[in-house]
Amino acid sequence: MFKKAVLIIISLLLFFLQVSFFSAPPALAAGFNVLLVYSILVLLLVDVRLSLAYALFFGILTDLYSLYPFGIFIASFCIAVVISHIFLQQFFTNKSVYSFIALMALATVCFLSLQAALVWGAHFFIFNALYAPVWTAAFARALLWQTLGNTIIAAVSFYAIDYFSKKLKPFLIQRQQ
Amino acid sequence: MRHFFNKQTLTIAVAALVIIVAHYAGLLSWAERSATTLLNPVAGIFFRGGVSLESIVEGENQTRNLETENKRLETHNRELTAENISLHLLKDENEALRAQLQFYAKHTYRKTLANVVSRMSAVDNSQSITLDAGSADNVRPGQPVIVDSGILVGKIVSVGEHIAHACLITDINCHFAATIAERPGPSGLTQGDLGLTVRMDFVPQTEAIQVGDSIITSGLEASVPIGLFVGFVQNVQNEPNNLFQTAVIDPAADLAAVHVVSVITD
Repeated sequence: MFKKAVLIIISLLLFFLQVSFFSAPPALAAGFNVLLVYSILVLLLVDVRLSLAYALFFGILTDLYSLYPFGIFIASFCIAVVISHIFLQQFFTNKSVYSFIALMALATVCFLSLQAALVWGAHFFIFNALYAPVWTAAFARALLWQTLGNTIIAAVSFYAIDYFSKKLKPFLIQRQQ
Repeated sequence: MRHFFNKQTLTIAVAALVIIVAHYAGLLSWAERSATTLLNPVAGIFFRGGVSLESIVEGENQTRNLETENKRLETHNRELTAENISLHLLKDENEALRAQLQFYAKHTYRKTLANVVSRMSAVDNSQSITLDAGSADNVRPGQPVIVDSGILVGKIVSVGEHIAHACLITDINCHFAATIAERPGPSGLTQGDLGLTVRMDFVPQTEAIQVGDSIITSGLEASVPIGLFVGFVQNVQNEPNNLFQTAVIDPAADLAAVHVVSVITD
């Protein structure tokens, strides 16, 4: 119970950091997405069920604070986690930092592309706009910077977890107690 | 693949769908209301922390470049310009409508003070802020958002009971009917450009518009009063073949540092 409460507080703090703290300096918010990094980290360390639960939780909260139609962030977070999980099972054989970085880059591209596609749809079908300025050079720049930012955070988190925990250490070299 | 679609993951997927459907059916409004009421104060604290962090970083750079003083004076100048425009308009109105004393009542705007709790730059270059005031505070879509003594920041787009989303004037989808403060006559439509500046389009070629002119709202929109300060003309794009000319405007409000705003509700 105490562990669950701590995890909820941590996820709420991450939400406030991403949506309120990092969004104040706009350049910082465009650089990375700690909510996505956390969800993918959970996917790698725990399981897809908990990762999806976090994705749903972060999606609901972000949608509440977003200008766009409710559901865009829920769908983007959840589908990004699902695709990452499929790739993790099919193509990544271990829990190395390289796997995590590749998975993080993939999740970021999926997340932003899905978000862009859904926003593009919203422009046409909900806002009845004639032109949806989604697939632009600015989007390509955001994609590049966020992929880079998220992979850097992922790499730093990986080494931090590896230092403090045994979860990422290969099974064979764990010392028997 | 089959391993992935187990009972628990499918439950979460169904839960996501149910939540989205319930939101649009209005079944979650009480939960959303409670959530935003609980989250807004903490979000506001985090946002102010972010703004302070940005100010510290920005302040250090400015000290190095001797720009702090310049920025302070620039802000002061903008505030004075906004005040001057307001006084100028009042003077004109005083002369033209001296007999109609009731007119002045229209300029005592009713405002709702709100904290900015989040700012979003989405994938479509849209720039928006989230406020901790909503329909319960008489905030409605279309109402202008201002800072200081009438410097325009944006427009309310959507409203919840205790939350509101506003597009910033630098957002490509944020439009205002505007005019030049110094010379009555030329009017156009502003919209954001690349999330950085504001463009004023549809200004007839026959109208004189110069670099340095002050742009204000024209009052042609129902919820937006005349005289809210948008910014200064930075550049004029005038193609002889076009029917209209375009002015690039430097926004008066420091949009990166906005954390407390007013919504003109009446």
